[in-house]
Amino acid sequence: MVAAACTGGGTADTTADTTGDTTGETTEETTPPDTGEDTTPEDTTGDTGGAGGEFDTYTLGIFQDVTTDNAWNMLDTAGNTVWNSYFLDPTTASAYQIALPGLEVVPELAAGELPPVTQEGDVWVGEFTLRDDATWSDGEPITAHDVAFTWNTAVEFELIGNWEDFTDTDIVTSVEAVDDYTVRVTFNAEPGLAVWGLGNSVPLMPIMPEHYWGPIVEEARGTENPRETLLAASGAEAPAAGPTVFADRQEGSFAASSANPNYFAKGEEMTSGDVTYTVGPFAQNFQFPLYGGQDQAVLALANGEVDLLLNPLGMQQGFREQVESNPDLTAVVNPTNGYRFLAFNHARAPMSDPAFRDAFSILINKEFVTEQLLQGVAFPLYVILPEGNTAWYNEEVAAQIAEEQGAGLDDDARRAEAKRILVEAGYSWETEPGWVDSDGNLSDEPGEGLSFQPGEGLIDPDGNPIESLELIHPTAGYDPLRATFGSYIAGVAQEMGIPVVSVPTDFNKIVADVFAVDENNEYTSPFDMFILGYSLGNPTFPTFHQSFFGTDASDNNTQYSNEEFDAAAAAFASASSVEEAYEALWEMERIIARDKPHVPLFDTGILEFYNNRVQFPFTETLSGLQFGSGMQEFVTAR
Amino acid sequence: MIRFLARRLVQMALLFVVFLSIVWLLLQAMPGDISDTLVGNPDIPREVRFELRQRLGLDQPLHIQYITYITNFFRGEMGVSFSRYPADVSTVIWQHLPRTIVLFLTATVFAFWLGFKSGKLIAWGRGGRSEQAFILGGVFLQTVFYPWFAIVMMWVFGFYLGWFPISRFIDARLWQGSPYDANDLFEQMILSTLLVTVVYVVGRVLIKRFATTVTMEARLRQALVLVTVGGLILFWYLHPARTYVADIAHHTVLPVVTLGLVTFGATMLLTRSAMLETLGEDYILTARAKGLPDRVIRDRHAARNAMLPVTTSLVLSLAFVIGGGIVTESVFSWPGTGQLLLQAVMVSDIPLAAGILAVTGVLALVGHLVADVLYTVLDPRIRIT
Repeated sequence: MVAAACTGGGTADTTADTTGDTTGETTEETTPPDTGEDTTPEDTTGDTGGAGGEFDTYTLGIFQDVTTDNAWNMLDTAGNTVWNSYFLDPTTASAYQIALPGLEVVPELAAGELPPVTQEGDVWVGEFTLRDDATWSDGEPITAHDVAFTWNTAVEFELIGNWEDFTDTDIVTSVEAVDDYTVRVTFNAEPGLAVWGLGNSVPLMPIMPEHYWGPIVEEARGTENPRETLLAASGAEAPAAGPTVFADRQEGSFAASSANPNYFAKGEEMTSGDVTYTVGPFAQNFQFPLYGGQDQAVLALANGEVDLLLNPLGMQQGFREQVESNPDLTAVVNPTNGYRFLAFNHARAPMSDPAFRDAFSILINKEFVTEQLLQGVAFPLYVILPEGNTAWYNEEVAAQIAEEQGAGLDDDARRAEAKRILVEAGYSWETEPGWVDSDGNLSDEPGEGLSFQPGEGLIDPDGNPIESLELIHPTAGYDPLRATFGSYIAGVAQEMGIPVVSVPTDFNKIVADVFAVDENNEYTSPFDMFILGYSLGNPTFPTFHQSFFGTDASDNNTQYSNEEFDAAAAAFASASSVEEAYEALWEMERIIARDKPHVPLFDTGILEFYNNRVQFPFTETLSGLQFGSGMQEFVTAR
Repeated sequence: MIRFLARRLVQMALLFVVFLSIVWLLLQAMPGDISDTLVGNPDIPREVRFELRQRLGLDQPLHIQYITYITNFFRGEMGVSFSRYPADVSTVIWQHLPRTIVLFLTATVFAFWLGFKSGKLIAWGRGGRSEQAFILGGVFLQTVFYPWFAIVMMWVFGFYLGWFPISRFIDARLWQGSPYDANDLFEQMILSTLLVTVVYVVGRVLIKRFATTVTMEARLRQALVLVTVGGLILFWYLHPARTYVADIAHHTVLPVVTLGLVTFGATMLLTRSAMLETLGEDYILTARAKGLPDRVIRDRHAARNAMLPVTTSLVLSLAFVIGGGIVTESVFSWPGTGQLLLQAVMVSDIPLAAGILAVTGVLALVGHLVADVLYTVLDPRIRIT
């Protein structure tokens, strides 16, 4: 239920228009027969939740090593890898969690829905209550003291990475245990949904066992570098709150966990989206063998050594046919929580001119590139929020934006529109583009018997020729899709007399260049245009608009600045209801589509393979099965 | 000899400082740093990247970073791995190094032994069909696209025939919950093999010195092989961890054979060429004229001289096993230093990448020294002054 690829930690948030369905309603606990040590997935011995049976070992192939067994480290920076999350995330639990596939925020360790905050003088206070039947894997009760301990330790030791998100010290001033099961969170301002409800904050923070980590934290306090000492400590013996418990780790070979014998939610029924299923775990053991490449991993999958291959980027299309022709294997494709885009430098002319950006972007026939050049392996995008984020996606507004941005226009219509925009804005050409008849007469519109004549030498409204512009994008070796878009865009722009040069560049160099900062940690933005792709973080409360486009925001390297957008972003962040947040989110999408700091280009689905020995209660979910760390708590034997 | 060694050691030390500086600067020349791995994650603010750079000292001027690194290195501190923070670089390397050394050492020694023997024999019996077959096979193995060849080997022997595991170092199903650490056990395997090798070498020397007849020498050598190899097998058979040791050995076979075959082709062709050249020398004609047996001419007169280029190739290839293992280790999911180096470079973990390359540099320098010394043993005409 917790999105591994999203945060690595227990995150949970609610969604926009989902009716607060699931609340962890308890049903009769299923206790299938003991399967025995040598049981294989085929040896299904009992049905659970009406979906499948328990089995011995669920094997999930990974492609990079699990480097830590310490959940503090997993959520800091160096240990904050998706591979560590796949393994360790299911060992953690938080008060609230993200339910899949519907992306609702539902109680996990909490006893009920999140109550609203109340004002007490100058401060605001929020309280939630933990269920009193939940224990750590060693049988100790999970209490509010553990929650307070976790928050206070992360703050005291100045943990960074996802911890900064969870602790929210800008607004959260304290987290205390009122009694064994009541947690009191104090704020210095009224918190919106971002902090109290949907975003990564205290309610979604993974909880650490004080009775295990307390002595280690105490010892770390006395060392020269407490943070480093805490992050280096072993978590191999730490009790777990989630469905799995750490079992073993052989560096460079595999990691393994086992079912938490005291998992509080086992047997409960969960409804998310339109799917109802029973919470497990139904496997006794979970193994994560490490593979050096996809070739051997797919061979191992076909050989029955692995049940599912986990990869945040998905599997290569080249294996799809091989897998689909094997009756023992299944390939699934899901939308990703990300997008690939063209970015303009808003601080440089002519990209600083809205008319130029409009004309430039209308020239890009995304349908042609995705369907013809890329043979359907990608699909065009017009808004940033992925369609797969069913909780927040607004089909109607998205379609409207797509239409406004020229979806479905043919090449001639695009050229004509681009020329109209540029002419209206005062641009001219040394050689004007247009449509000529057999007598050489130039027309601004296409027509029968007319052929397109490319333009040359675009001149800005002040009469100065536009100098050569660079469009940097990844090389074909790194990403053929973005490379194709890069050279295509340069080509159609040159036809219109816009002097754009496509510059395939090493991926690391693009990242280093476009995110270069000065001594004050301000972006220097030494580029004209670039093509990259971003993942979008927590899908239940998508804060990426603010992060990517807010004035002085974290990842805003395009120098885009718009008060209207900042106001919408602030409204989103401080929204106290889902409806308010939803309205603000789509306002931001409209502004971005209009102002174009980024032009969404395309995305590809995430392709995953699994062995038919196992089955999942659902396979259609944003960012695929890997997003839920391979659904370790739901998977059953077929 | 001592003066030579002392002079060479000083040269090596100076060369190593230059090498380490170049390695460090080249790695620094890579665009970006490890904080770039956090770019574009809306859940991690830019300040975190800034803070991470500060904590790792990446915000310091380049010359300060360089001086700090070099100073610490020669104090025995290779720094902290950025990507496996807060683990020490030396700890991380030491975890992976034995696996690489065993894989490549076994494959290389096996391939050189087999390549030298077969190269010697086919050169001696040149002109036959077997020579043509060996040359064809050797050229194929030497020129084959290695990743493809490795995948084919894996498909045939791992997937289709099912004789060997498809890849990886150990079987997680067996090892989960094992009381043994794979690394510890692996190190014990290395030590026991080294011990047996030393016993074998000493035994060979003693046999050569004290055997009175050729027949006696041959029998004693056979007995020595039986005792050492048999002893090693018996030791591990009686060891409580034998199942786990067998699992490691089972996983080692396919990568060793695949790598060995490729190396074998090159060695065999090199030996054959060297042998053919040697066989044309006057002293071979003289030996024949003296009526020496063919075996003596082939093994003592021709092969010994043909061994010089092969030895150079062997020693230098041993020195570069660490860096050269990237492809093999990736294809066979073998968790050694080659794969570690690749991962370190991918995420700009400069201390770790520099540490691995530093170890490679040390081995290369030592390899050259060993080659020089070995020359004097193999060729009496060469003297160190």
